[in-house]
Amino acid sequence: MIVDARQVEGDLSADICVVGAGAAGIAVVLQFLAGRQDVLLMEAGGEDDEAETQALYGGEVADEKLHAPPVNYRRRAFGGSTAIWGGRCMPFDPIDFAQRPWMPGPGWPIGIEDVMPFYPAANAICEAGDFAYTAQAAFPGGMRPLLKGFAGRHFSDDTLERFSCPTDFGKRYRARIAQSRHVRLVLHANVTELRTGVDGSFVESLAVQTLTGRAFTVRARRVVLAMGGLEVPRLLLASRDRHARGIGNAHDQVGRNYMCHIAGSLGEVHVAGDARDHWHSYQVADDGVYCRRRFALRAQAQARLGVGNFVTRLHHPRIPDPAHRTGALSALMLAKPLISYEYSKRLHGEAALSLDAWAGHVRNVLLDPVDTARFLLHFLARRTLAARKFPTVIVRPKNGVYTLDFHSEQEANPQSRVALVAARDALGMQRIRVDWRYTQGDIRTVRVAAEALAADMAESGCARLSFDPQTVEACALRDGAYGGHHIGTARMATTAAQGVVDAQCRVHGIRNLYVAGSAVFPTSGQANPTLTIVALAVRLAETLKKDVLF
Amino acid sequence: MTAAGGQVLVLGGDGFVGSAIVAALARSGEFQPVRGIRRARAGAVPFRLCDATDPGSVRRALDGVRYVVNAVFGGDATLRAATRAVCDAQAGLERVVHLSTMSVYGEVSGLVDERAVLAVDAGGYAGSKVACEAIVQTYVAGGGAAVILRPGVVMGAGGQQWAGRLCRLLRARRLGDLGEAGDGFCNLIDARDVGAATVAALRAPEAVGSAINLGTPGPPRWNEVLVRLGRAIGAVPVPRIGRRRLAMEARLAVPLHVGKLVATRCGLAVGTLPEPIPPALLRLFAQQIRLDAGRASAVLAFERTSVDVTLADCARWFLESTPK
Ligand SMILES: Cc1cc2nc3c(=O)[nH]c(=O)nc-3n(C[C@H](O)[C@H](O)[C@H](O)COP(=O)(O)OP(=O)(O)OC[C@H]3O[C@@H](n4cnc5c(N)ncnc54)[C@H](O)[C@@H]3O)c2cc1C
Repeated sequence: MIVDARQVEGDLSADICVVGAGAAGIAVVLQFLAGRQDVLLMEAGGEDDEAETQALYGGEVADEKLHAPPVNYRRRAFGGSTAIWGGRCMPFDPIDFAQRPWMPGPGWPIGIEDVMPFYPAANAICEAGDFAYTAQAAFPGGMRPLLKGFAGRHFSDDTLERFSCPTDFGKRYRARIAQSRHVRLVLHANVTELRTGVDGSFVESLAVQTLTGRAFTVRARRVVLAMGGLEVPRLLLASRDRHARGIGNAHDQVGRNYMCHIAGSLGEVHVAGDARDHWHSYQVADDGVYCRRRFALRAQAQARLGVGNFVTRLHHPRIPDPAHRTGALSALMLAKPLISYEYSKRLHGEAALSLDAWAGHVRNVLLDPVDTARFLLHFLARRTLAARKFPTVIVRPKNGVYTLDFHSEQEANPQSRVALVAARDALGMQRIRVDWRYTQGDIRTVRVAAEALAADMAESGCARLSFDPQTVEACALRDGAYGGHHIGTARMATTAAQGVVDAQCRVHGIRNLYVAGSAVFPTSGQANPTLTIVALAVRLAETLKKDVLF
Repeated sequence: MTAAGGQVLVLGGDGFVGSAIVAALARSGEFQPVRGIRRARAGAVPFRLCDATDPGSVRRALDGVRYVVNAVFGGDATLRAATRAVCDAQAGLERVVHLSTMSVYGEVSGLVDERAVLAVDAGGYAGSKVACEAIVQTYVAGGGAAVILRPGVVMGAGGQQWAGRLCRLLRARRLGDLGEAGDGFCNLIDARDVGAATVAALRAPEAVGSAINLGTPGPPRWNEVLVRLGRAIGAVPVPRIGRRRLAMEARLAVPLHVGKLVATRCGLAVGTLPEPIPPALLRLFAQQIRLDAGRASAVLAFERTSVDVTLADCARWFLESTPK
C-alpha cells in the first residue's frame, strides 16, 4: 500500500518501521510483502525529484576539492540514490572480513560466511543476473582475455564485475509494495528524531514531519534506519532526548571512520600484440547482464605487501586532455554541460580548460568523424535508449596506450567524519558537515598495488605499465573522494567502544534499533557497496523475522 | 473415495489440456477415458464423436458414461454451449469436472483463494469462463455433483498457447527479461498435474460442489520463467525488454491480428507476419496475483511436477519441434 504523509491523519504504528526507501530499505521490506508482520516504510521524498525535498540533504564540506557537497551524489526520493547509481555490482572478498593486522581498525565481527547466503538474493534484487563473479562461472564457454598471456603473481584477471540495468529500486519494486497488505509505504515522511523510552534503552517513537507542516509520530516494536551512510549518523546524532551525545554515540563513534573509495586513473599501459590480444570492454552473459574482467589484487598479495584491497581496469586516456586525439572522448568533453554533476565530475581537470584545449577537442571530433559518429550511435542505442544500459564509456585509445582506472580500499580513520553543525534545514533538523580525510596508508595501497601490477605485466610480457610514484597521490585525489559511497559512519563492531552496531546490525545499547546500509561497514574493501548493502539488508530482514517478539 | 471408477468422457479430449487429462485417466487404472471429440482421430484411447455445442450430440455421447470432464476450448459461444450441454443433459452423471481458469478472478492482485469474488463484469475469455462457472453452479444447486478446477498457466510439452508461444517470442527476442512489466507471478501448472488433479477431483468426495485453484505454491515470477526458458532454448543473451518496446508491441497487437485475418482470407502466407502479443498477455505478465494452492494440496493431494522439470520439458519439446 502507498500513502502520503501529507494526508495521514493521526499517528501511525506498526511491528517494524523502516526509515528510508532506497536500496537498503526497499530490500528489507521486500522480505515482508506477504509475511505476518505489519511494516511501515517511511520515505522522505515523493515518487519523483522535488527540489525542496532534495534541499534537506544540503550541508557543509570541509574541503570541496576532496568531497562533493552532501546535496550531491545522493537522492532524497522513493528509490533513493538508485535513481542515479551506475549499477556496478560485486561482492566483498573473503579477505575483507578477515582479521588483517596490517590494516587499522577492528574490522568485521562477522565472516564472509555470514553474508554469502544472502548474496544470490541480493544479486536478483539488483537485477545483476546470476551470482557468478568469475569468468569461468559466468562464461562456461569461455570469456575473452583482458590481456592475452597475462599471468599475475599479485593480480588475478579472473574476477568480474556485473552490472545492474541500473535498476531504480523505486520504479522496479513499486508494484510489489503497492499491492502488499503488510507493507505501507508512506511518502513525504521525513523522520526528524528518534525518541527513546524511559531508560533510554529502546526507541519508543519516531517524530515525522512533512514540508507542508504536518507532524505526527510513529510507534513500532522494531526500527530500521536505512537512510544512507550520511543521513543515518545525522539522525542518530540529532536524537538527544535521553542521550546527550546522540543515540549510539556514548563512545563518540557515530559519524567517525567515514570512508568512500580512493579512485582515479594513473600511468600508461602499453599493450603488446595486436587489437585481438586484449579486451577491456564488456561481454554479455547468457542472462543478459554486462560483465567485465578487471585486475584484482590477490588476498595473499595484500597480506604480503601489507596493503588494502584494490582493483583496476584498462581505461581510455584522461578525457580533458585533447592529446588523446580520440573524437569520441572529445565529443563527451564537449557535451559536458549536458551531463549531470555526478557523471561529469571526471570531465573536470585540475584547472579550467584553456581555449586551446577546447579547440583541440573540436579538432579531434572533426578529424575523427566516423569513429565519433559510431560511438555516439552506439551510446544512443545501447545506453540512452536501452532498457539494460551499456554500463560505461568504453573507447579504445587511438594510440594504443591505456591508463589504469583504479578503485581502492580506503582505510578506517576516526578523523574522517560526519558531524552536525548549528545550521538547520527547513524542518529544523541540524545539517551535517562532512570532513572526509584520507591517509598515507590509502595512497600507499594504490602505489604498491600499481607497482605489483607493473611487475606482473612485465613478467607476463604482455604489457608495460609505467607511472611516476610521485604522482600517485595527485592521481588518487584528482576527483576527490569517490562519490556516492558513504561507508563506516555507524560501523559494526563487537563492542560499543569500537563501533555503533553489533553483528546483527543492532545499535549497541538500544534493543529495538537497527541500521541497514553501508554505514555499518567497518571496512570499505574494493567493491562498490550496494550489492553488500542489499545482502546485509536481506540478512537483517531474516533476523527480524526470527525475532521472538513477533 | 467414490466406489470403483468407470468410463469418463473427456470433452475436448484431443486438446492440449484434454490430452493430458486423458493420459492421466488412462494411467490411473481406475478410470477408463473416452475422448469426446468432433473429428475422428486415431489413438490408443477410444473416442466418441461428439459436437460439444450440440445438446443432442452430447447426450448421445454420455450414454453409459458415469463421469464427464469438460475440457472444451474455444470461443464464447462454444464454451457456454458445451457447459450447458453437459449440465442440462440429465444423464444421471456421478460427477462432472469442469475445467475453468484463473482468469475468472480478473485483474486482482495478492494471494487469491477460491472464495474470492469472480470478475463478473469481465469481457472476453474471462467473461465466458465466469458465465460457464455460473452454469455449473446452477447445476450443483440443482443437486448435480461437479468440481470446478481453476488452473493458472498450463504448461508442458506440446502446449502451443504457452510453451510454444513464449518460446517463439523469446527466440525472436521480442520477449525476455521484462523488468517491472514482468514482475507478476506466473501461476504455472504442469499439464500432467492438471491431469492428476482431475483424476483426484473425480475421486475425492470433499471436492464436490466447490472450486479448486491449480497453481504452484510459491510461484515464480514471469521474468524468471521467461529468462529460464530463453536460456534453455538458447535464445541468449536473454534481452531486457523495456517499457517503450512493450508499449509498441501492445499497440501493434491489433493491426497484426487484423493483418493475420486478412492474410488468411486472401490465402496469403500468415507465417510471414509477426505474431501479435496481446495487451491482455502483457497485463498478465505484470499481475501480482498468486493463486492460493492450499485447497488443491489439501483436497486433491496430487503429486506436483517441479517448475524445473516443466520448463525443461517445454524447452526440449520446442527445440525438437521448432527448427530455427
Ligand atoms: C552517481 C552515483 C553512482 C553510483 N554507482 C554505484 C555503483 O555503480 N555501484 C554501487 O554499488 N553503488 C553505486 N552508488 C551508490 C548507491 O547508490 C548506494 O550505495 C545506494 O543507493 C545506497 O542505498 P541506501 O538505501 O543505503 O541509501 P539511498 O539509496 O541513498 O536511500 C536512502 C533513502 O532514505 C531516504 N531518507 C533519507 N533521510 C530520511 C529521513 N530523515 N526520513 C525518511 N527518509 C529518509 C531518502 O529519501 C532515500 O530514499 C552510486 C551512487 C551515486 C550517487
